[in-house]
Parts: sequence; C-alpha cells; structure tokens
Amino acid sequence: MMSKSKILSCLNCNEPRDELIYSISTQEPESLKKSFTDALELAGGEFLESKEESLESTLQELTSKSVASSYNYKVTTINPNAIDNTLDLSKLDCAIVEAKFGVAENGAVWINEEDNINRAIYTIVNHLIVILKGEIVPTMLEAYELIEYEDFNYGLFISGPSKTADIEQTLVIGAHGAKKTTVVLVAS
Amino acid sequence: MNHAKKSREFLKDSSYAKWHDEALWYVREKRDRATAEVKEFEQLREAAQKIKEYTLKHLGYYLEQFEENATKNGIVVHWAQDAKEHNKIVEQILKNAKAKLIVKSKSMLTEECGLNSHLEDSGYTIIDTDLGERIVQLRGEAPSHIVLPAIHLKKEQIGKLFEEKLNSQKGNFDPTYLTSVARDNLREKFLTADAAITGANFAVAKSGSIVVCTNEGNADLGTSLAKTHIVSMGIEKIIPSLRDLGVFTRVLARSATGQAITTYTSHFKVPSIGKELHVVIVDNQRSSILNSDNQSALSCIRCGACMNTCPVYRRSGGHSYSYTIPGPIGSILGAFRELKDDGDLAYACTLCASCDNVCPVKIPIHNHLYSFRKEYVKSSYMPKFKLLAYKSAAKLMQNRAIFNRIVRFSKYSNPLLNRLSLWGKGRDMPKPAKKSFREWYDEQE
Ligand code: SF4
Repeated sequence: MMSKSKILSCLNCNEPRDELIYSISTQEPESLKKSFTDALELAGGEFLESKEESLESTLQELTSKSVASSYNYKVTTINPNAIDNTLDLSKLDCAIVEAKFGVAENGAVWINEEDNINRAIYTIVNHLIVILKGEIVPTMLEAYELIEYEDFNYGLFISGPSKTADIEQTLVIGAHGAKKTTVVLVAS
Repeated sequence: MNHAKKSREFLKDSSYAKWHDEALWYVREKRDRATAEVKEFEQLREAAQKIKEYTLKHLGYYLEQFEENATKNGIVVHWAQDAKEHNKIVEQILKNAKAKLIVKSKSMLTEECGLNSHLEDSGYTIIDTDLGERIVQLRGEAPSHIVLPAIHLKKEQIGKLFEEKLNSQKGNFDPTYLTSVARDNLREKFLTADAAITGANFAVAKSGSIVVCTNEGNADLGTSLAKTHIVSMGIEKIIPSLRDLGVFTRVLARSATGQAITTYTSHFKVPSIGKELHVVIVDNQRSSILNSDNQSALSCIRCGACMNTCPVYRRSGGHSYSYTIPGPIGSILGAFRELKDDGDLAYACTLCASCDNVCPVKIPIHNHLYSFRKEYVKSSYMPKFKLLAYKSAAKLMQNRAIFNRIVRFSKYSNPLLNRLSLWGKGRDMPKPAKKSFREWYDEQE
C-alpha cells in the first residue's frame, strides 16, 4: 500500500480534462477476402472455404486422430473442458475452435470462446482449425471497435501457426504453439 | 568496460562483424517493406505518439483505473517501487502458491530487475521459454537485443550449445532441427511448471486487462497450463482503452520484424477458474524519467527498430552496451539512471537520427542522446583528455583566422591525423576539398 501511494504521489492522478483525439483514414482493400487469405498465407497459415452443409466433410478431410472441440462436430473426439490432466492435453493432435471475425490486413482471427474454459488448446495441439463464420474487417482499428464492448475473459488474435526466427533469422514454423493453423471460412 | 572498448573487441573479427551488421539490416529492410504497404502508416505513428503522450500525462489516473477494473476482474494487483521490491513480491507470490518450477516468456523488466538470479538464489528453477532467451540463458549471458535475444549467435554456436546441454545430434546445425529440439525440451517444462511469468506489452485501463504479443505461443502455453500467472509490468505500459490497441497492434510487429502482426496477441482479463492472475506494477525510476526532460523515452513500445537501424548497434553488438536494454533507446535509459557508468553511451551514436525515423511512437531519440552528451561534458565523469580535446577544438573553431589556416592545412594534416591521432583509430578524417569554400568564394567575380 505504501508503495502504491508513493508511486502515485509522483504522478498526475486527476481525471483528464483534455480529450485524446486522433483519426486515421484507413484504405480499404478491394477484396477483404483476398487480402485476408494473402496475409494468412504470408503468416504461414492455410485457408479453406466451405459451405455450411459441407463443413462436416471438410473437417473430416482435415483431421485424423484425436480432435478436441467444445462443438459437436462428427470428428470431435473429446471436449477440452473435460480434460483436467495436462499430460492428456499434450497428447491431443488437433483442436477445432471458432473465431468471431477475421482481419484482412494480417490474416488474424479473433477468438473469444465463453464456453471453452481450457485455454491451453489454442497452443498445445499440433493442428489448430479455426472456423470463421463472422465477417472480415479491413484492419485492427475496425477489429478493436468490435471488441471494445465485447465481454471476454481471455481472448486472442491468432495469425497463422506458431513460429520463430531466433536462430540466424531463419523462419521456422512450430515453435511452442500449433505447427499448422487452418482457417475455414464458412460461407453463409 | 565502456562501450568503445567493448566495440573494439566486437570488431576484431571483421567477417563476424559484417555478418552481424547484415543480419540486422535485413530486419530493417523487412520493416521498410511492411510499413510501406500501409499507406496510413505515418498517421498511425502520429496517433501512437499521441496516445502515449496523453497517457503519460495522466498516468496516475489511468493506473488507478486499471487497478480498479483489474481487481473487479479477479486480478490481484501489486505495486513495487524498485527492482528489489518487485523481486520480493514475485517471490512471495511463488511461495504462497508453493511453486518451484517457473516458466517465463519474454520480459525486459524482469531482466532489468535481475529476477532470474534472485529466484535461483532462493532455490527456484526459472526457465526462459522464448527460444532466443532460452539460448542465451543456457549460455549464461544476457539477451543482446530486446526482440531478437540471440541475434549475435551463429547457428553453429547454438548447435554446439544444444549438443552439450540438450543432447542434440552432433553436427546438426539446421535451425528447423534445433528449434524442434528446444520445443521438445521446453514442452516438458511447460507441462510441469507451477507458475508462469510474462511481461506485458500493454495494460488496458478501461477493461483492466493485459495484452501480451508473441510469435512462438510461449506466453499462452505457459499461462494456460500453470496454476499461477504473474505479470511484471512497468508503469508506462498503460493505455486508456482497447480502441487504442488498434493503433499499436498495427505498428508494433511491422516495426519489429516486418510482420503484419505477431502470431499471438493475447488478452488476459479474468483468470481461469481455480487459477490466479497477479500483476506487479513497477516504477523503478520510471516516475523520475516521467518528471524529466526525457519523458518521451517512456513511450517506447520495445519494438527494437531503433537497434536494427542504428549504424553503431549493428557494428558493435548488444553486449557492448552497459545497460540492460541496448541500442539507442537503452542508451537514453542507461544514461539517465547512471550518468557515471553509462553516460558514455550517449557517444555510442552518430547523431544520424535514423532511429527517430523508424520509431513507431516517434521518440526524438537522438535529441535525448545529444542532451546527455551535454550533461556528460558538464559532469565530472568525462575523461579529462577528451574534455581537453573538446575544449581546444572549440577554441580553434571559434577563431576564424586560425580556423581558416587549419582548413588550408588540412590536406596535409588530415591523412596524418588518420594515422597518428586517437581519433583516427577506427575512423577517417574527411578528405578535404582542393579548395576551401572561402578560397573558392574569393576567386569569384
Ligand atoms: S525507442 Fe522506438 S524504435 Fe526504439 S524500441 Fe522503443 S519504440 Fe521501438
């Protein structure tokens, strides 16, 4: 407590009277979907499109062994919320999660799943499949406009698979997180 | 050892120095390509600068707002005045949680505080999980760059290190292979760690949440598996609202590595059921910087762009700087904290201002360094012979007659100075023109 008041005593704690104003004119790309796929592929991710009715068969082709998902797809073998042992989690091959929207400029998807309490599945599996049913926004500015009033406990943008270039600037896919990330855009 | 001496060591192997220079220039070029693709990039830099300036101006208000909202979210907020208090708080949290093994993702603040050695001395095992940081940790050295901690090492050196420490195949120096060795080794640690420590790229006052950006996924994997998550953050990491992140997430990775965004941009707001989330807010002289002429140095978002572009950093390496954070921004912070020991860093600079031009929050970096030179000269720390040289040079340059004579004489004296003087070691005096401007001018009709 002492430290808090000592630190704050050196800082301005009054409510701001001036306003923070800035404006940015973003350039919207011709095709949001094309920019999104280009950026996603540049980030090392894969892109697929599927109709709602053929989604199950698309997922069947994409997955093989253990598939964790809190959604009841035919390929789902387990609900991640039912796993409480980290070792079992680490044996999972694949996870299917849902994103709220995508971002055209960088191929990122926003994931905020209230139903999924097991946060490790986004990084612990080898293959992350992201179902994208929502819209694609041009840039992160529009993205955060959508999130600003959203309620979330833990949310993340993911753009492609986990990667590193820490050894001589050589890009290596699959650092600690998923080695493969596939975004499946579901056409409505 | 001061910067000049350490740089000399670094430059001894000229092919290595060239390799290092080119490796960083490559990153700078990636940054240029990525930023050129965004037409409104300059507007974004201006906005980023504005947001930071505004928040710093009202820092106390936003810190309190952050604490209030974070507490509502179930986060435990702690305050530390200095490094010692920070380390004590972290240790107490770990003790309460009965944690022994800790995984840590990148955090320059914990480097600044010397957290690793503090915890190791108290019997904890702390593992850096960012690949570059893990490499330097295994070598027992500090990161040489804030974004690319092992940029000073060649793959052969890393391969040999892994052979010795991680039992990798002899003679296999392939980066993909070496990364997979580190992945497997660290997976074990992730699965058994009791606590995870992360830094914070941003702390959002209005939502009471913490934002961490990584490419590897180590922050998310570590925090989601361990029972306790501790965030170490400096007071300057605050931004008012999520909306402002739209600006920062657009400039950060582009400036750092030339990516459009980091792979993971994670928002921690409410801890998972049955788990703990602690945030330690650290001052450690930041409030003094805030109340000085160097305030804008606190706007730094640690992208590393000023290092990649700096002609001195590229040719002297991160380990030549005596402060935890190397390169242009580190020289400001170092000189501010310890003018005596780190004031010479103000001279590890050509005043070319290339750093100012790439900085995503538009910090006038070179102006700060220039002002530290003035302070250093006025202090008693400046080596006496340098001071004498400066003073004599000033005298000569102020006297027109003498100055003109020197200029005329320079075609003979400069080559001599290159060979004989201290100044000429490692640099060349400019080649004088055949005629001085004055001589030329006098000849005109
Ligand atoms: S001073 Fe600017 S360029 Fe340097 S690391 Fe900080 S934000 Fe990046």
